[in-house]
Amino acid sequence: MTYKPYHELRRSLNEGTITCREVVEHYLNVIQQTAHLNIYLSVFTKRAIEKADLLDMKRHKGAPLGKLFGMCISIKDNIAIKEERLTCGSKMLENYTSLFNATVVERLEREDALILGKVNMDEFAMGSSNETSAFGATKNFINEDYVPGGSSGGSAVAVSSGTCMVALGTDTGGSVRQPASFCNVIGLKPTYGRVSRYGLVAFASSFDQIGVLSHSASDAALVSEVISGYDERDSTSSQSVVPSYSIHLDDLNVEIRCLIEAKLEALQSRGATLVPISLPHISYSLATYYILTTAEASSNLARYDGVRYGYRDKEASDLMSMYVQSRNKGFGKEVKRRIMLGTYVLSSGYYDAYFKKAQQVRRLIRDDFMKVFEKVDVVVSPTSPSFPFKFGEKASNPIDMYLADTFTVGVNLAGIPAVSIPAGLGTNGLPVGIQFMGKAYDEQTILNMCHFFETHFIA
Amino acid sequence: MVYSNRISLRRLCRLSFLVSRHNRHYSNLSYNPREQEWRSVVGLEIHAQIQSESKLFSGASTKYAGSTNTQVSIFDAAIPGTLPVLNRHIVEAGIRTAAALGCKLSQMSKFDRKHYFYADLPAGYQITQQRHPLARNGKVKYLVYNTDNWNKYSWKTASIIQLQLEQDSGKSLHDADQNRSLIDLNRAGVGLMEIVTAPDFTDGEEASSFVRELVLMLRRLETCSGRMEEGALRVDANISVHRPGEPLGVRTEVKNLNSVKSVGRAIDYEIKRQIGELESGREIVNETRSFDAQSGQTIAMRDKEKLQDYRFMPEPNLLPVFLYDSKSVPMGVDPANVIITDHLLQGLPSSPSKSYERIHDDHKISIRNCVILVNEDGLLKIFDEIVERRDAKALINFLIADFLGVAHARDINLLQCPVPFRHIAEVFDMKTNRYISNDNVTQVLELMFDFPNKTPGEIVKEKELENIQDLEVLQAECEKTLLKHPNVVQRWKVGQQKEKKGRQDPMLKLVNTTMTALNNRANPLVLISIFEKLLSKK
Repeated sequence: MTYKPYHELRRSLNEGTITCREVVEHYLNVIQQTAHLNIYLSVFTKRAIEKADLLDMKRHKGAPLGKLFGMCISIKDNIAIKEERLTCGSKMLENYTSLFNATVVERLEREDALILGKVNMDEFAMGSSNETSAFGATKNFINEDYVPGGSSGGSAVAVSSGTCMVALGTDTGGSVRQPASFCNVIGLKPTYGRVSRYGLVAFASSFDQIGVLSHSASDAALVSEVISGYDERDSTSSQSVVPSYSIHLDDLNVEIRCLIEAKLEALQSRGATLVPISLPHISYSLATYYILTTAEASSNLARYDGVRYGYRDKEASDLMSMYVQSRNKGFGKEVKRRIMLGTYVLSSGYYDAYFKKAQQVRRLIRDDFMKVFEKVDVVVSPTSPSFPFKFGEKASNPIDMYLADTFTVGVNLAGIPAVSIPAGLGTNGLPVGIQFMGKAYDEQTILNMCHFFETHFIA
Repeated sequence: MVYSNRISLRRLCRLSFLVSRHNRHYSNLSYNPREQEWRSVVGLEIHAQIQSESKLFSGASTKYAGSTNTQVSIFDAAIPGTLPVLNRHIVEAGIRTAAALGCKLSQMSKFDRKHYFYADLPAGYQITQQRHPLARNGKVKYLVYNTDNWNKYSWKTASIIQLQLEQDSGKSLHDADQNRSLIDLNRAGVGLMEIVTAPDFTDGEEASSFVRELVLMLRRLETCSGRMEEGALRVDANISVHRPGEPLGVRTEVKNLNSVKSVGRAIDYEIKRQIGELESGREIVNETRSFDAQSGQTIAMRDKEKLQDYRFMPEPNLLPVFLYDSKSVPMGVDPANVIITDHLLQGLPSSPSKSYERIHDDHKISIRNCVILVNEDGLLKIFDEIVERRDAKALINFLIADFLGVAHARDINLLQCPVPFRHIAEVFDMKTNRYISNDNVTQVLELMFDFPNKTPGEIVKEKELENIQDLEVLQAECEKTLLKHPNVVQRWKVGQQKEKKGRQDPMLKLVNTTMTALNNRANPLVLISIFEKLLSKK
């Protein structure tokens, strides 16, 4: 089955020319065929088929059908689904089963979506290539020698390889958009606060946001519509965030730059007005981002102590050694690196120099974006400064890896929404993504933009 | 300086040689080495559990003494993906308490994370309000008194530095037999207010008096049960000593004092210990100590990380708490997202010290009786309601000596007094007017509680407990007594020539015998006058 946007499939489902059961079986089949890509950490074969039958029955009875009736969705494995594994790509939670459903999962299921399984990711969402997963990296469907990006690499490949229609990812510093860019699909990171984080295992709580990966703007729009909105269980949800926004164009691959500029010119020819903008503090965004997110992560991951759940070292002889050994063996290298960094920037004597200063810079970056959005509707940039890279290419140098987040972290610092959409292939045959950034709570504009772009430049 | 006296008395023998030398030297000055040798400085951190059905950030119950781990939500257990939701009721209780302690409320307060690893702290951090507390800068006037010596009392004022909201931790239960620790998370996440005082106390008596007053205040506010024996209120004391004119000494912290008495004893012990250490040429180590109520000593706690770095960080999952009064709330702000304080600050109960002062000044009642009246939940209210046009001193004596005994024996909570106050007043009036005898007061009070729907007047009539007014009946009974006890009459006659005591004893015997015969239904003074009349004829 070649890809069609959901509204086309929905027509057939409504007409009864195809059943949910058939749709699910198709995707489960593709999941099996793509097993070598290492996308899925759990596949809900039984659960999905049972749910599909129920949905078909529901349609048969003429009951009202949800907005996502029969849409097959895969979920990043740091989002809680009741009674399913929740590994976060970590040995620490290898055998951990969630006790409850994340709000987004409840909302998807309420609209009759079909959840197919949980997909691979960088450990605790810390990584830009999928290589930090304790369960091995997911391979890029476009070329298996290349990383899919991260941390939502599993979600991006799940969509690009056709194992599902839409996948949920999470974006702390570009983790939806960069893999979307690397895998030639759309990746939307909504405004911070737009989507409830209840049931999302925290990496950096004030950055984390659940986002959508899809083939089409209309699918991304539909799913975001369902999962967004206030949730009393997340006090930060739907809190209006001061709009702001970022971009900076150094260190940019020349070919990507040309490709993006060509698209900008095309947009101009279609009536868009190009306004060069300046975000004075954006060059500090990467440093600011890594100080604040590692600090929050060191705090958020303190709970993995082997006491109540998760990995516990069996050789430990007392409380202290249980902590040390369980955390030493349960966490991977990148996660430990970030816990150490975060612990350092929060320690007394360094707090003011690092954490507090970074918070102040975050506010400046936010204000920069706010000013820019007084003049423009959408800010455009490449999603990633480079083409997808090969496995192992950057794994040994964390700084190189962190640079992959250059264009995406500013959005999270400012809390605004942004979307990555395929912009074409380079001469090397590898994809390039273009990023549209919008005002806080104005996902509508960037999705419209996305749709326009898709209609005129891709189809 | 009460305290310095006490230390120095103990030390006097040991130091007599030194002191006498000094005395010689300063003999022409009014130098008193006992008072000037050392100063002690004490500050308190009080953790009070806020009365609330559910916890600070979750819906789990806060009931005391539930079976282990039955009052734990997934948030309380730090299950991945869970988030805190602030309990508005607890914030409101904190606001009321802060206002009652004279604090300035913060228009914006924020939550922080305080990190440390411990098995009963599930998230690896406690959510607290280190940097932006709910309220700051309070003042509490309190009465320092000693139940062993009611004549020695004084008024003091303590400053409150801040009042902050935070989570309680779980409990670790150490099973020594099986060499393991078990964790009970029922308490984890219960809302606490931490009240931090300035180092305004000089000794255990002052500090414990303050705590006693604070407990009373919280109970009046109904923001904390104050039940220290249940751990609903725990006190940490920071203690140091120094010589006058010198900078403050190194402090130690004595943790988890769980009774008013322990607060006083632990602080006084620790002051003595520190002075002893310094005078023996040793240094005071900045450390955490615990108090052993059995031995009365403080003991250093094992502190693995000497200097704990709590790595405070803003809590990213909670919004700041904004307080406004209904006039200052900005346009467009959703009242659901802020707390309007007006109605919370109305009808705050007055402080215990204000009550002491008021009763003491208005009615000239002893401090001891003021303290009893104020400390007994609900008793002051009864007093205030019925004191008008009555003799206050007699009324207090009646309430404390007669009424409270009966109420206590029946375990009655006077905050929900089951009988109308006017019934209590009626019994008092009957006693004062000698409509009933003192000996029947207790019985009438008991019947009053038994039959809350009847007035004491009706009860007394029904049960025939009122004094017999008919002098002839009384005289007849007195004559019977005289006939039955000729030997007592004889003793009375002999006693007439002796001193007062010799006269009184036989008369008392006659009256008591007659009272018993009359079921206590007589005014003994009337009986005495009858007896005197009858005996004088003999």
